[in-house]
Amino acid sequence: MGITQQIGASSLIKPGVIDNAAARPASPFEGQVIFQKDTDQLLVWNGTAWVIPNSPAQNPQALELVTTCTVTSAGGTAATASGGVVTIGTGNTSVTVDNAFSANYDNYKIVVAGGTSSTQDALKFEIGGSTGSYYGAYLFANYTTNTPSALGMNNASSFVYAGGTNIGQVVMNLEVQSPFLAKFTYIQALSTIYQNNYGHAVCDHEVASSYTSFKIIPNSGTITGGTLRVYGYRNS
Amino acid sequence: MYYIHTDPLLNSTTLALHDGEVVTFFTEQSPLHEVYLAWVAEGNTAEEWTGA
Repeated sequence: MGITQQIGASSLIKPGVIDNAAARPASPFEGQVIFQKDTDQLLVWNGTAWVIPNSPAQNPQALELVTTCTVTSAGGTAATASGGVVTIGTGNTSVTVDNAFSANYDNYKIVVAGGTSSTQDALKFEIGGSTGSYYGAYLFANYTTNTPSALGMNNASSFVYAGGTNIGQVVMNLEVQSPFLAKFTYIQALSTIYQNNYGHAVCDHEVASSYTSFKIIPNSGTITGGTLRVYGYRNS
Repeated sequence: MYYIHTDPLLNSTTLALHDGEVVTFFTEQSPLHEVYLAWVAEGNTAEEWTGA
């Protein structure tokens, strides 16, 4: 019988398991591996710094899920959030995601996958409760006509062509620059699809303020189910 | 409200639904077209969109 089966693993000394950065080994040797509990990170000493294995940096300046998000919703049953995954409720007329933007990231990717809707319509995006100063354009084509078309947004109350609702799918794939900085926010919608219209939209929100939240709003009807994830491009 | 949009470059026209700030172009293949036909049957007529 192993020793952990007799006294329990939690009772044993745990070499390499530390609480936080302050408790890291003072004189590590190259190749030493530790697990830091407060950040749930496996780290290796590369001779110069503690880094994530197979990475040159402790916190790679890359895309990572923002796990701090919380959510409220209007209409139907409430949306929920857990570990950075927002699940849209049933029959929601809007979903507001808070604690999404922070100083950890200047730029973000926001993706909605799955879900259903009661109508086929545009899916709007509002940043930080701000209901004005959105400027931009939606460039698209109707696949039944092959005709290129465009629609403008001139001081709109939201980014009105941020995505689409298509009965069997809620579609939104946004790139967002500098929402937390006290500067204009720039947003690109990669998939604005509804009513046979397929295209991309670009928008800026011309208010130089810092925001931590956003809201998605179907132009008509409701949305049900599906997940929303916010990813941040880590600054450092 | 429904409007007719004319593309000055292609000289083509498209029916569009204006719902608040969202404009939706649609064709006969769209579910919106049936709703539009019902609206016309009530005696309404789509006007040319002038951008105003």
